[in-house]
Amino acid sequence: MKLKKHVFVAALFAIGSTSAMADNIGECGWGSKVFDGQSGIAPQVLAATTNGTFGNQTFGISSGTSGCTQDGTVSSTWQTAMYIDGNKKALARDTAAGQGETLDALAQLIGVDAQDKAAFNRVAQQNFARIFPSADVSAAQIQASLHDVVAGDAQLSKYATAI
Amino acid sequence: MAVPAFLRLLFTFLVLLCTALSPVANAEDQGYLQQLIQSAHQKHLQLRPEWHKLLHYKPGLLPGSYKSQVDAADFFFADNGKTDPGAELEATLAAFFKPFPAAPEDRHLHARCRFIARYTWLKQQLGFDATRLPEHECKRFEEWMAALNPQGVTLIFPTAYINSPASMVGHTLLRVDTRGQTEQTRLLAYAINFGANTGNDGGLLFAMKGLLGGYPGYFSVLPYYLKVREYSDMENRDIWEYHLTLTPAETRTMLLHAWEMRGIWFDYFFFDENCSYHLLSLIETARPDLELTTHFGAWAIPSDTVRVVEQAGLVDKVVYRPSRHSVLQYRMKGLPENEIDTIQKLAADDIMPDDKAITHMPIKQQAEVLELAHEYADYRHDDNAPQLHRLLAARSKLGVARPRINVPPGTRPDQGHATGRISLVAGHEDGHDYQELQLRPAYHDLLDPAPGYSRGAQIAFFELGLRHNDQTGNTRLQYFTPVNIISLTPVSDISTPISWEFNFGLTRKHGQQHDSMLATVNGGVGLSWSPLADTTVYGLIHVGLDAGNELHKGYAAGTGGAVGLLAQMTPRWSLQLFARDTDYTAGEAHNEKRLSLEQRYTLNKANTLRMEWTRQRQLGDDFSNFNLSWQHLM
Repeated sequence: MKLKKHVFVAALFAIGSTSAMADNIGECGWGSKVFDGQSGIAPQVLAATTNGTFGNQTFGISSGTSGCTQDGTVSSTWQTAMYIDGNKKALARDTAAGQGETLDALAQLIGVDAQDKAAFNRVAQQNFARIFPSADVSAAQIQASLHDVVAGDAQLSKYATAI
Repeated sequence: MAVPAFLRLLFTFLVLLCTALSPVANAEDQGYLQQLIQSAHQKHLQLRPEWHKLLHYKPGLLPGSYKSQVDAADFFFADNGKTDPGAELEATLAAFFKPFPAAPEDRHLHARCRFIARYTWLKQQLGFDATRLPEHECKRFEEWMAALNPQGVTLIFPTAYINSPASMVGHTLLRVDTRGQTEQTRLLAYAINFGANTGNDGGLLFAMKGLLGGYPGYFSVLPYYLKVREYSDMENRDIWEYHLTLTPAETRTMLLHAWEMRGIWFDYFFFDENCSYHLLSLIETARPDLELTTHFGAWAIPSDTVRVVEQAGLVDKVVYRPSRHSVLQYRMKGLPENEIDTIQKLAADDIMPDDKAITHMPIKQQAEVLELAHEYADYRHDDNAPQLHRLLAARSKLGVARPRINVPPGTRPDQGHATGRISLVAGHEDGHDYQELQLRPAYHDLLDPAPGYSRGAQIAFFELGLRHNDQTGNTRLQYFTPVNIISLTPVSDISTPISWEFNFGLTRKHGQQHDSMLATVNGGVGLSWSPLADTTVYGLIHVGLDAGNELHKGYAAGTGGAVGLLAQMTPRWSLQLFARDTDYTAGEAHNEKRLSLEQRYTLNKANTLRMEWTRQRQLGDDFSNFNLSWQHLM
């Protein structure tokens, strides 16, 4: 009895910590920073080449570390969360269509083996409504749902810990 | 005699004081530093191309002088480091001897880690003795390299924004390919980008500062997927990926220098020291003998920088990555009318995904219709997130996977015609013969050979024409046009873009007494259509302003319109026919008309022939012009 309780609590803890990280995605995610672009009627030629879209400079000697990125690279614990956050719409498209480059790259990120890729695509597509329940679902929610879906599939459950 | 206690104390204090004050801890270090400096001078290291590339030195105005293009002061150790390669080399060596910081978080700022490419090269050239200049780990750099996990480098070229042929000038950035990367996983790599930090400026201020170096330009490192989302999805730009032949070791050498560029800025100049130029300055550090930036002086056009990289034998594979819009356009083409109709209705939310018209289709067709309706709706309309979600949800229920779509690539942007042009013209105007020499440093006009360029786009900078008039014997400047841009994007099933034109400069207009040189500015907007493939029909309305002493009141301003036809008749033969009418109502009131037929025949990629016939009315009476020309693109 005691052992089960420990296991249960430990399991809760494990899920809890994943969600906790996913919840923190708000501070670390790309979010609206990414698309804070140049608007206005500047000559389009200039806008195309000065490319000042990313006002957030993460490749500097003082701004190097934010906890999630360092010198422009994403720390390994945050990679999946930030990938989902940066590719939300494309992931939704690929998931609904049952395949796509953005979904493939996510599979790669969580370590899905070559022979399980087709199953991953299929399971994701079947569970589209669960992973993407609404138009404004957050990256954290997507990640948590994807985790649950993968954990619940016999063939793919071994990859759940990576999500 | 015993030394008094206080003297001992004083002596100890003085020793400690001196130790604390001296930047180089002891005489032996100083000795070794001097030895290294001497050795460096003996080998003339300060003259070597590797050193100059790392410090971004370019020949200065006076022969034998140098000036670094870097504008950030903390890039240099010597006070005159920006202009003295030798002084900078000595000061860099001295900086390596500074004590290595005790606090781990400060170690990346020590010279040997912050300027790791300089350190690595100097160590290799001079053979640092580890007992006299101790080695230290650069942990933060190694962590960065581990995250990049580099295998090779790809040069990325996003082309024109959709509906903005004028942006075909494009942009370039680098992608650091990872070990074990495949076509499917290239999204997970990191990109290195050089861009200007423009804050929230827009409009004219943005233009002026961009042209005159008013913004700092920085290198940045970020996930490649963010750039793909920006270019392919948001801006709908096709991307060309040029894989470079750099080996993993050469890639590492280049990254050593990329690390040095953290937080370092250059004055950003839209024309010459721009994104593409500085990318070359980074790539050329990969190999000692690579000289890429030397090909560029007054301007660096992105496609030309790609050409230079290619000519240096650095490209081994090119991949085309179509934008969302290109994929949509390709998939919609050739679909039966009723399917397009259903797609448009779905996209406009006029029918629902569960409508019988859709559910009665075969599964694969349903899937296609839902996918395309989603793409169309996302492209065409705003604020429709719930509807888009509905379409995706319906699509996911069908359980079939989208087939792989291969959009056939057009001509690569680096394989289009060269951007400079010189023309020799022989013509007859208003009763006399003339010859004209025309120069156009950049870039492409409506009739230049189309492959590799956006159709209906014209960008011309600093065009000028010198005309010799047989009747008067004069040779005079006929026109000088710093900017001449035309953007004709046809209305389509999925969008209604605005076509526009803008030009300003000096031009000679046919007057009553003599030809007057006037300053002119023109701007126009309108629409274009493409009734047949390779044919564009357009209509624009414009405003124009001319200024010059010979005009009454010194100026003339007015409005007008133009209609035109641009058609490719055969792959080698294209023509443009247009009629233009402007009513100058303010200042010197007069009417200007022009009817023109210009044809171009391509001999080869570098040479074309043109024939032009024009009937015009300018300040004086009506007159005709007929001319033939040979254009050489170089």
